[in-house]
Amino acid sequence: MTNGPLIVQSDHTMMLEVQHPRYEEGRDFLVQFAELEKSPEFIHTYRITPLSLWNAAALELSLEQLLKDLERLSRYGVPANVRTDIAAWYETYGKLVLEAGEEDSLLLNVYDHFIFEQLKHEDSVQGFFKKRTKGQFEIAKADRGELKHALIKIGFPVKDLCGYVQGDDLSIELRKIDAKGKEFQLRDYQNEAVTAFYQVGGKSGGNGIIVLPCGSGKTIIGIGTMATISNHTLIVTTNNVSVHQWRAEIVAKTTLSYEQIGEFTGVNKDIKPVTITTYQMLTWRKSRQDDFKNLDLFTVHNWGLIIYDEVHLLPAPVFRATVNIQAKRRLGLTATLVREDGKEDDVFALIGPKRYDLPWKLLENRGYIAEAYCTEYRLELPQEEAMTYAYAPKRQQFRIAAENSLKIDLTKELIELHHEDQILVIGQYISQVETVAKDLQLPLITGKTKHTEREKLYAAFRSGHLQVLVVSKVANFAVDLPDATVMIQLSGTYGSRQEEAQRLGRILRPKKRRSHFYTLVSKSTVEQEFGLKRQLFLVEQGYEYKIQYYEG
Amino acid sequence: MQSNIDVAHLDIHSAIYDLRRDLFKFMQYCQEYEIKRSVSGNMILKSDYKRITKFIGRPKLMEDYDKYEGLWWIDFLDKTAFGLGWISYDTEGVYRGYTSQQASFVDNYIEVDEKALYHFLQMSALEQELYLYRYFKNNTVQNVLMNRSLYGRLDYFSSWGSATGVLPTLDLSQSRTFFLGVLADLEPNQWYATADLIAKVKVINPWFLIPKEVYIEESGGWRKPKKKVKYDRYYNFMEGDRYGGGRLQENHIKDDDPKGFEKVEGRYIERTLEGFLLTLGYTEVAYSKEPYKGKSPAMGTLEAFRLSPLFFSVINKEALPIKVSIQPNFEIYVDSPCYPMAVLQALLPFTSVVKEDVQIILKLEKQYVLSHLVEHPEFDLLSFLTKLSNTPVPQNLVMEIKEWTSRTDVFTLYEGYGLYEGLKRQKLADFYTEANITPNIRLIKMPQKLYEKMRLDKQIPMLVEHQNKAFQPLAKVAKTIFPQQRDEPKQVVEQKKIEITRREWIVYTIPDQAFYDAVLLVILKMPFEVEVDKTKQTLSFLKKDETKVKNLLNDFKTSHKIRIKR
Repeated sequence: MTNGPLIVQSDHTMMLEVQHPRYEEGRDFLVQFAELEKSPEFIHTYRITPLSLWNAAALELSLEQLLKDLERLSRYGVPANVRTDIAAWYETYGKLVLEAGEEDSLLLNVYDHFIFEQLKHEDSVQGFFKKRTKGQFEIAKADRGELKHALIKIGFPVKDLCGYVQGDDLSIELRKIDAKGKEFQLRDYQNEAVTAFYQVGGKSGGNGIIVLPCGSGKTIIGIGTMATISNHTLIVTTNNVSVHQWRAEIVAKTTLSYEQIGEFTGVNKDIKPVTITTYQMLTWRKSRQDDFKNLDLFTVHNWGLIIYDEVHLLPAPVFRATVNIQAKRRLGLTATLVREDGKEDDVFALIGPKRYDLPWKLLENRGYIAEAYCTEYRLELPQEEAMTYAYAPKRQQFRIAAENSLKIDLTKELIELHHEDQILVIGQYISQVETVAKDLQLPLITGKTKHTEREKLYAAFRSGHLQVLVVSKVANFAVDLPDATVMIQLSGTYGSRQEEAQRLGRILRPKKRRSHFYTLVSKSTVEQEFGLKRQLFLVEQGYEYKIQYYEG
Repeated sequence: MQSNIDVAHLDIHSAIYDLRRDLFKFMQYCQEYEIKRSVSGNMILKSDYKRITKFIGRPKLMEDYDKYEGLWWIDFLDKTAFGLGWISYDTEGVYRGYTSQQASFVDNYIEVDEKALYHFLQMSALEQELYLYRYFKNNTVQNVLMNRSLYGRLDYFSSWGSATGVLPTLDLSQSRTFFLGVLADLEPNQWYATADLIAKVKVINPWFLIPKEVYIEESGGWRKPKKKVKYDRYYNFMEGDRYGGGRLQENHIKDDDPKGFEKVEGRYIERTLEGFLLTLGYTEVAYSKEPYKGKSPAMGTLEAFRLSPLFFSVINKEALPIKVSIQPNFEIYVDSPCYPMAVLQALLPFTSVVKEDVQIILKLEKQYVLSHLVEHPEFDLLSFLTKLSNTPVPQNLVMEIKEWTSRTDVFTLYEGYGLYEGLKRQKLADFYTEANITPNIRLIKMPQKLYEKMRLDKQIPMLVEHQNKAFQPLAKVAKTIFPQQRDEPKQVVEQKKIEITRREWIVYTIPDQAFYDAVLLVILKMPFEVEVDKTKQTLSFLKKDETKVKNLLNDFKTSHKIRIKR
């Protein structure tokens, strides 16, 4: 037994004690080869997986040092099975190396006799092998992605050293003063991320994932990478609003003009030296029987870099298309490597390994993302509403609880409490947000609000002329919604964690004041039960969560 | 002694199961269920083996049942619990019938000594560990020289003739105490060569197991006084070649054998390292992977060992810190150098086990908390957790627990009671009334009986029974102070089917008269639907035909610059 901050469990999870004096040392060590699973207040859970170790191996972290440090930081030592698995998983990476061959062929070098023998008899990859010599398979250049994909599915990651085709040149320089007249340069960690990805143009770099939390400026890292490579670039993102945002950011932060950037969306289909599109657009097809014609966008132009924004959302057809563009540099940006469909290995094989990761708490401590305080206010239902609630069918109860009239009084008090803050009040039901806006005489934005009116309100809010804005659930995904320091959540979609994350994201941009996230729920109702799911989500993300009662 | 030796080429072996954990679970099972032992052999029955393995979370053990005619691990737990005095059962039995060779054990149930167990669970973690350590250290019933230990791989000396000679005179407990003292001088978590340890012991005290000179009192014969006879020190120990599982050509080890110490005491040391020290998780041992070719019993194959920090904590009587962290997501992390039986005994009534590993993770369950509070209404969960936890109880949890516990005070369900709502002066109800809530509402006992009486009295009463599933609202006509459901259930009306066809039309307005006319001339000849409004100079066509219209307009592009504005 040592006084280490870490406990290594035999199921490959690792518990890191937050209040331990060597916590930071442990955290910075673990982030290199393990995935953070949850981070509630006192003990954070990390997990080692084959993928996380392949990522570590790709970063050329020394295995010997890793095991030594793990033992040094572990309170009760490292279970024998974990040691063995770490070594076995880590060493798998690098045993299969794909390199350029002659003309239209590539060479898969296998540096392990047993793996070589296994591959000789593995049905799923036989079709790729044109020729076999000792420890080496020859494959067609066109099969580069397919082979890597097939091999990872049977547990063998491939180190791809085939290099890239040169994309069309495009001069991109970062501005020193951005379009708004503010000084601009990449933050240190953004620079590190770009360097870790590009690796001075070497064959071992140029593909992979950058993992950073919301609000840390992943778009800027994308732009920094574009400037470093200075090639024609294709950017794939999640929705049209995000397309506009990317375009605006590129224009604001680089020497590229608005005309040099094209949008390939439902509205415009411009292909320009820098083209921005969405996953939805790429996977659009007339009917289920038709081909995904827009996927041709990957190959119709000589791109030198492809950026996959929010890579954890990358849909299956885009994976398939990515198989054929392995000779292009590929950058994935995300806040989490975890995918709902469990296809993390596809991301590893086809986009690349994790190249850079930083704990969000570190960024929070350095002021790059805001510190957020979550408070849940529990309110009794007024007597009449309580009776209505009691007699209502179960599926109506949630709404009755969510529209608790006392929430208006509390909202008013919270607004008064935060009289120096920019406040967003958000609700699930139109009738509710309309009532709040009317009773408190506040401007309201719903799906029905006209674009010009919306822009006017946003502008007033951004400039500080407007302190409080009431918004309906349309704001969940409205990327143009301005940042605030306080969010008052009147009601939400049952226990939706995604919605909670989206809404919280609105107050995470760095600012001088602390951010507050208030959730109002009716006490002892189904709304409180659903609220518990949201509560668990936030505390496991590491946010401080307080419960208060409001008596009215 | 050289530490940190390389063991990469060796086969490392550690305790497979945590004795403390499984013993704790075994005792929980014994407390909860009646265990009847077999009449013949006094063993645990197969059905109980099955249930116990499932209960302690080791169901795979059952695969060994037929192979070993029992389960070595469960039998070991059984024997240990018996040895510790936590359980008791008849061990002598009765001989039934003239021909019975073995005793029978009729109605032999395991009984738990709750007091002894409670006493143990009240101890601190160190006291508990010392208690187990001393029990095993002093338990020399099966000495390692003549018996294979629980996890041991090494064979043993032949016990032939061991009832006489040197062996019965040895104080094995004292030898162990000395040997453990030697181990206490080593470092935790460092691999040492066993040969080095044997050499070290030889230097410190070569007589630690067998005295330098052994005299045994022997009867001198009929009417002759007893006399002390000097014995060979290694009188009971033989070694030889092994053939197909049996021993042949075994020879006594000679006192003047220069390797005598290594052959006897050395073998003892090897077997002690893989004995109770391994069972308690105090040692890990590493064996040679090469097949053994020397004389039997095996010697020198247990090449290396290392001692756990827990061993040193026990030897040095250092407190064993148990760290309890209560997380805001309702999880409780228990971190202890050994299985924290006392803490778990205290926490398990209101938690579920999420994971049992090096660190134990429990989860606070509202339902368990409420059940526990029903049985122990005075119990203050929050104070208990605050006292137990090394970290402050998170604020959200404090509030949740307060809410849970206060709710149990508010809602108390009494069976066989009901609410009477009706006339203020209801004489029939007086007998059943427990308390008057309002003039018209009373808490009554035996509502069914009152209902029957009122019915016989022709008062037309109404009895609302609340099923477990749900509470029922009163009938609409009933008079009550409670609000009633207002909405009538909606009648299902058969709906008429209406189909609406939706078509999207595109309207082009062409302000240039000449161009408009020219386009009209061409478009009207086309085989698709076109509507024309000459007053507004518009052309309307279905959206699906827009491409055709655009193609048609392309023909005019040589003479016109055409732009379609939205």
